[in-house]
Amino acid sequence: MRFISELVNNRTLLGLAYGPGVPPFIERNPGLLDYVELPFELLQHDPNAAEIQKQLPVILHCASMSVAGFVPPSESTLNAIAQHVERTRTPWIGEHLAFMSADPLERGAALHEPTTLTYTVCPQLSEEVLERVCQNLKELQMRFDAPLIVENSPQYFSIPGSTMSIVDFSIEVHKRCNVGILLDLTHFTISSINMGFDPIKELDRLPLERVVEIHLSGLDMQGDAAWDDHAGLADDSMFELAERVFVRAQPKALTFEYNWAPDLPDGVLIDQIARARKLTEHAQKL
Amino acid sequence: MPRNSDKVGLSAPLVHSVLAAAMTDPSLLESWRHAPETLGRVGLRPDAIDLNRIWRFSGLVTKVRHNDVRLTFPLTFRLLDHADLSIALFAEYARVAAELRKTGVKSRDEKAHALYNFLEEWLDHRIRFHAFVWDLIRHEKTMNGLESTSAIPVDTAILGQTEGQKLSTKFTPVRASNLIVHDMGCNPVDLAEIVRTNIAVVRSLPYKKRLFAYCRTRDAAAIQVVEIDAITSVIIDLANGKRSITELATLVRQFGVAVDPRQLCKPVAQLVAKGMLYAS
Repeated sequence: MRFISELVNNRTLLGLAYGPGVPPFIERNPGLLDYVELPFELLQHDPNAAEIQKQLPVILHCASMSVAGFVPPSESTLNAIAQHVERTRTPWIGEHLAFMSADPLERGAALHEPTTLTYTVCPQLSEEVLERVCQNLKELQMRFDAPLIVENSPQYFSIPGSTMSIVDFSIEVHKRCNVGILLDLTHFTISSINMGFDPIKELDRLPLERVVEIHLSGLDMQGDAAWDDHAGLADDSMFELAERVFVRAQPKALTFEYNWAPDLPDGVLIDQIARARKLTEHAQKL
Repeated sequence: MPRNSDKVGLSAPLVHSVLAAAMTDPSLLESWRHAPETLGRVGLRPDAIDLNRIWRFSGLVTKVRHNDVRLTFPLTFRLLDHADLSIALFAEYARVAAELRKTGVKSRDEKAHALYNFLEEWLDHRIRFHAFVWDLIRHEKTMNGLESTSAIPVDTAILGQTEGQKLSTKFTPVRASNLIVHDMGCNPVDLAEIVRTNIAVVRSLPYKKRLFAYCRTRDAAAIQVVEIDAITSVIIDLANGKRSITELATLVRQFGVAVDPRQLCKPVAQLVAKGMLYAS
């Protein structure tokens, strides 16, 4: 088994989000990557995915804690996450600043069964949710030996009852809670397109010195909106945003989320990784 | 059920419940889209929420739930994304997918089969991009099917005549069991390569119906995709192992093509050489 602690820790590590093409890519390109980001939900569904840790260290990623929700995850879920934290020795747990479960809408036989989603949803951006996030993070953090960092959601539509922008919401979360940032620059760009704000200006308002990890992936313009697309590549604008982050901070890791595309050519991935390596090394020298 | 509190604004638990319900019950979302005033029953004004954008988000979620099917049809998924079709397609498909999950349809093959069938009806085959999507998914499905079939060569004694040898008009060919003919708007092998390497070119590809036969080669070592003409397609269809070349010629004449049985011997021999027809 390989662990992050083995690696040199004064540079930004580069990794890929786990997908079916990742293990053979690592075999074909030894030494290119530092880690694989592995989803907790995949480990629950397919424990064999853990075998990747024989090739590279793992950072655990989660979409189960419903950090911005009002229905907590089950004890069994939290216990399972804790076990994976211990086994993988992940340096942190990336979780979404989103909700994944909610109270049922209708009365009936399933009255006490919450509605659980398979995808994270941007929460209402309000004081009520802010207070809940802080409470949830405080309780959740006590469960794990590794620190939680929270990932910004992509915003696809206005959430009813919101009283602030997603950027202001994020700023407030990090002002009130001692939690690191998993800055998904694709999600940030998606939100900027869909909600009509200037990504550069708003990026500069974030407490970037708290960024622990960066995510990059593609986005897909369809109809009149931008959508998350882990089968597409991060474009120049996202790399430019990453450069801006590195002017102010030294994130510990940068993950490419290309886990929907089974057939990305090696050359394309290698180029992307090389570009990120150059960006992070240049920033380190400054 | 969460309620609005006395505070100004909509309660977050209520809003989250509404969004979660919309995501998990596509029928409910559809009913709200068609009659937005019914949102009032759950405490929301119709103008408080963009149901169409939520519907599209449900398409993204359904698409992600079909990431395994992307492994079966990688190029089709690529083309659907490039043609700005995937979000709307999966938003329409969300209801079907939810019903299938309730009936226990879970395996990748089952999901791929269901999506394929849905696409056949959903696509507007008069629209070029839609037509190319249909061509491509049929190409991928057929190639997947042939790749999973046996690569054991047929016994040469059964293969009968080889190319170059003359066939008699009494020869009774039978269609290779793994042979499939599709009508496509362009060479599907070229289309697949273009989608793989230079997808922007699809926009300028001409669309003209042609026939392509898919089967394993005579030695079963490879899969071949061969363009054929209409007469060849008719011969393949009629070759049931009971009709001689003479009888095939008679039937071909009924399609309005005047052909002497001796004229069919060479093309039939060529099809046998390719492994598309066998001696019965």
